[in-house]
Amino acid sequence: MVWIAVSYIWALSIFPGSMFDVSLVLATIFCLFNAVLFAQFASMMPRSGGDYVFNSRGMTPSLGFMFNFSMVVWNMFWTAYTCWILSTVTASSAFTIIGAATGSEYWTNLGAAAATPGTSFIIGAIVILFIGLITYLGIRPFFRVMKVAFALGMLGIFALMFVLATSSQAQFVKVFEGFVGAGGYQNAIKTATENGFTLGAGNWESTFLAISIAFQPLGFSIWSSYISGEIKDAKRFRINALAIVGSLVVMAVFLLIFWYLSVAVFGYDFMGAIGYLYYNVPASSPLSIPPGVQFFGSLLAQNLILNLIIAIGFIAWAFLYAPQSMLMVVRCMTAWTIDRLAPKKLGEVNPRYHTPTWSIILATILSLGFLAFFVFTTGWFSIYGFNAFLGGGTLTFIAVAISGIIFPYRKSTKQIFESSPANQRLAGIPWLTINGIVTLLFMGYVTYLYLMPWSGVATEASLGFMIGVYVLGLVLYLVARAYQKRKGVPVELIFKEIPPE
Amino acid sequence: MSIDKIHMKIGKKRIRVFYTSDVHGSEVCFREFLSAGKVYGADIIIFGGDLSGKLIIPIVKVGADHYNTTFQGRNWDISGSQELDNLIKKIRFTGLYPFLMESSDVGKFDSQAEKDRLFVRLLTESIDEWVKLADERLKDSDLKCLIMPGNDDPTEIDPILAKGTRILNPDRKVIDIDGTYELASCSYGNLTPWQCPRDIDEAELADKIESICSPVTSFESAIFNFHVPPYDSGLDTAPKIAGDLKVIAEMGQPVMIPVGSRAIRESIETHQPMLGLHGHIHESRGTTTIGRTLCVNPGSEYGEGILHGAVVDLEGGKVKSHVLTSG
Repeated sequence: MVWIAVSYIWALSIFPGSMFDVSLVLATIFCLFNAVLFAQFASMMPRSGGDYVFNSRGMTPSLGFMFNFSMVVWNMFWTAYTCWILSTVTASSAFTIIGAATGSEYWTNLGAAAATPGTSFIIGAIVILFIGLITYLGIRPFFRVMKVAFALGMLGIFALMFVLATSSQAQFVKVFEGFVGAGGYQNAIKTATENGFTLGAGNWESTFLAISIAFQPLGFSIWSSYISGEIKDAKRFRINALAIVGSLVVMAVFLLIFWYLSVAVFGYDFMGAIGYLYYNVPASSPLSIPPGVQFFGSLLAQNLILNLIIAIGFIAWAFLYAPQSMLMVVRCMTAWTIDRLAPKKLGEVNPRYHTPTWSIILATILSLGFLAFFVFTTGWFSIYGFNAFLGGGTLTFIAVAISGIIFPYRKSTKQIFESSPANQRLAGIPWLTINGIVTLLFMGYVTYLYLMPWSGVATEASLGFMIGVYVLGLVLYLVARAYQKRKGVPVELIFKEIPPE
Repeated sequence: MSIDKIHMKIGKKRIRVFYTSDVHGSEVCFREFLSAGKVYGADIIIFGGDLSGKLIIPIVKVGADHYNTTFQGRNWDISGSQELDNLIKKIRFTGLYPFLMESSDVGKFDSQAEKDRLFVRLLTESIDEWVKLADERLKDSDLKCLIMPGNDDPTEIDPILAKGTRILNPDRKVIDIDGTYELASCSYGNLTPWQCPRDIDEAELADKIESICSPVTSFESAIFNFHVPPYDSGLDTAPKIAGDLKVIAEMGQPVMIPVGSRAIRESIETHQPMLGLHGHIHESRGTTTIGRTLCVNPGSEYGEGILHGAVVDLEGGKVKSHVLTSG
């Protein structure tokens, strides 16, 4: 939901003229195929580890590890990124609004500071350490924190929805100009146009390109397949589908509601222009903090309590997303240790909390490292640089799609498919294959979009980094196998398939 | 209770053991178990309990060559012997027992007692076929095959297992392997919410285990083949079950708790055998150490036709190496 804050402004400022509601609907439809694909795999092989489990059997163990290693690295990246956004976007705008509402210079200064490298690192690091701690303390405290974060997050979302639904554009122009100065609303649009921004909606090319932004909040509803695999149930496929597809559809509905509210209240051209100025012509931007829907909504609220509810709500979403990424990373590392592909130490469970201490410590340290990388390097991770993660993510989805296409036809996996609840066909063709083909085409398209110059992935350094992660994954797999073999461990047997005679 | 000690000769410096459990009626997994010796190059294959399936799937004959059933949450309306055979195969694959019946017989199995009788009949028929299959498949092989029941298996299957000529039920026995390793086995487990046939309370289980272990001369190279994993070992983490046998969930996630046996944990802590082979908790695949004892639970995905197992190499009275497999 935190994407509500930024995705519209990003889409309209990067792809002027895009009909982002159409982009959202298209992305939802295509992401549904990926969501069902993951639900089908999770019902066929109910084990924690997500794509690692699916691809190790669907393709080969080496490719399974390589793609999953990439997914794990990018998820640590994602943990760091979420904490960075928490500080630089949600917390900074919340503090600024509180400062404006109360007339307190302290809060206003804190808002500006939260967007600076030093403070955003401190805030982000505290949150990462907290997430590491709750992951260490076990699944119950972990989900308790998630429950509270979810309740606060939804409260914030509904408060923002209430504010937008009861406000007009004239009211917004008034409060915005009260914040940045008289004429600020029209000036922003004018200055952006003078600096190359194009006004007006209805550009289909931009709409299709903006799918790359729409995919970001919609593409990762598959998270539950990484952590909740082992519980068997006759209706497993329905449960998986409900969890994965349900969260995707709910997300899409909220994104569309807020899109229409935002356009009505803030104005289509203004949202694109203000983002364009902040990210491309910062010297001419009337805002010193990143523009976001929750920031503008909070300005409109004109009520400290509502401001606090919205602020806390949006901060709370970070406490939902980042721990999920951390837990996914830890579960995958544990799956690797079971298959002797990672040091035994990473799988050691502490007797009191039953959690893998060393996996959590490693994931926390690496996430802190990524945060520092984000904060203290320039050029690499500009606002769009994080799409390297999405590029990494979509390539993993492509691998799962290929596994899905071939799974019902491979001799060694055919029987698993045929005896599972996922064995559903359309005109004789397995839905698993159909979902795989559509996902392959869609993720291929999204990957292509991320590799375009605007995304940041296409820079030599970030592209090299992304490829490097895959190469490192493959090298680690080969090294682990060679090391175990030298120790006399028959690692070649781990994935050896037994023909049922 | 007197415990038999059986001598088994392998005659090799390094002995490879393949262990698996919990196939729960899955014919494909049982067939894979019988093939595992050859595929993994094992000298001994051990099945650690729970052969029994969990459900009957009635297939009702509703017309001349027309059948109807509900399976995997969907209605199957099929015609012809080919489709019927395919469906029966699918049902067996997942570990369930297909039962073909006339529509006029539907009411005959309404009472729980009738259902139970039918279940035991289908189960024992299936085990009988499996024993014959094992004898046939292993007749020209040197492979040692140990098949033990688990807490889910009714005692009616013990005499059927005893009829096998190429298999041995190691339950409540100690098997001396080459005079170096002693394998002590126990099919019984602590109480579960499902009141399974071999569920007993912890005190009784502790007595049984001590009795089973009594012929063991050296625990240093002993192997405990106990169906249930030790309590709170990480190999016994399962969803918490409410009184109505439904999984308790928080935030859509099942609440996981340790459900293994305290008696078995105590026995491992006291005797410190070389190796503990366990099953029972399908979702708790992994390895751990308790003191000097390596404990293994390969987990189970019998419903998906995947045979999870553990390959353990023994040499010089020690565990040389181990891996969990996914065949």
